[in-house]
Amino acid sequence: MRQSGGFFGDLRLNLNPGHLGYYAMRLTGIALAVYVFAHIYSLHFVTETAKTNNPWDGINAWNKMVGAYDSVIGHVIEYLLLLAVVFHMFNGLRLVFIDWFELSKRANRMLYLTVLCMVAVCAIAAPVFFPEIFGRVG
Amino acid sequence: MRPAYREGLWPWLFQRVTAVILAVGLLLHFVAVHFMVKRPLSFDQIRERLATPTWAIIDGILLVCAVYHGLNGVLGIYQDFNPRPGMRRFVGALFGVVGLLTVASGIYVLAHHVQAAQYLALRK
Repeated sequence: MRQSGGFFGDLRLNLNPGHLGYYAMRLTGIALAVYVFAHIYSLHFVTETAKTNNPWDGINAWNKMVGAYDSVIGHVIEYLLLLAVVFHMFNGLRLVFIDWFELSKRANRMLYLTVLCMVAVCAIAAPVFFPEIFGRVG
Repeated sequence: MRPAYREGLWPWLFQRVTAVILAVGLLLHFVAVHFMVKRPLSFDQIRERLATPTWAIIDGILLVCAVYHGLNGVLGIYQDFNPRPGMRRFVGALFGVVGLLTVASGIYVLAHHVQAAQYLALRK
């Protein structure tokens, strides 16, 4: 039997949609875990209030922080984040369904196709969510 | 061999349970943040939402679930690399401490948001 070639060697030896999905799930998972911590950190700006005892100070700091996200780069990151969330969420639900309801191979394949379609729909529908980078629809 | 409930049953189960909670909660969060506000986003825009206890509770549940799901997921990836048992325990404990601190700071921030929102609502 051929030996496994490590993290990327496994991918090369098992180059099929399911295995690619497994890697994509992990990559998006790590990205989203990093984002959760950044998200919680960035929201802390409103607590600046505690230092000056004036609630408006914290709110101004918070608005300034949110304003920094309101740029082209910020919206592109938001767009990629949306796609990562959609893939991770629907693929994760697929795994939950497989674990708990013992789905057939065919049902699994159909669900996987549905996940990819959902990602494609969200990618195409981006102008609705992010008119700032893709231009307004209509 | 250790029984399954001591080996990884609970992290596996909680990962699934938090996944389902996050799938529903994130949709609510996304709709609330992107469609119930006007651009550009400002604190004033989210004031009314955070002054409502229901939303504050939903955000609190999301915080706990997201931190658990994220850290447990990354820990699972780390364990796939087959680390030594000592390192496995150390990293697991480290993630536990980081998770607890993050949830505590997140609740502090959330409470502050709610407090500031109520302060502004009173001034209005």
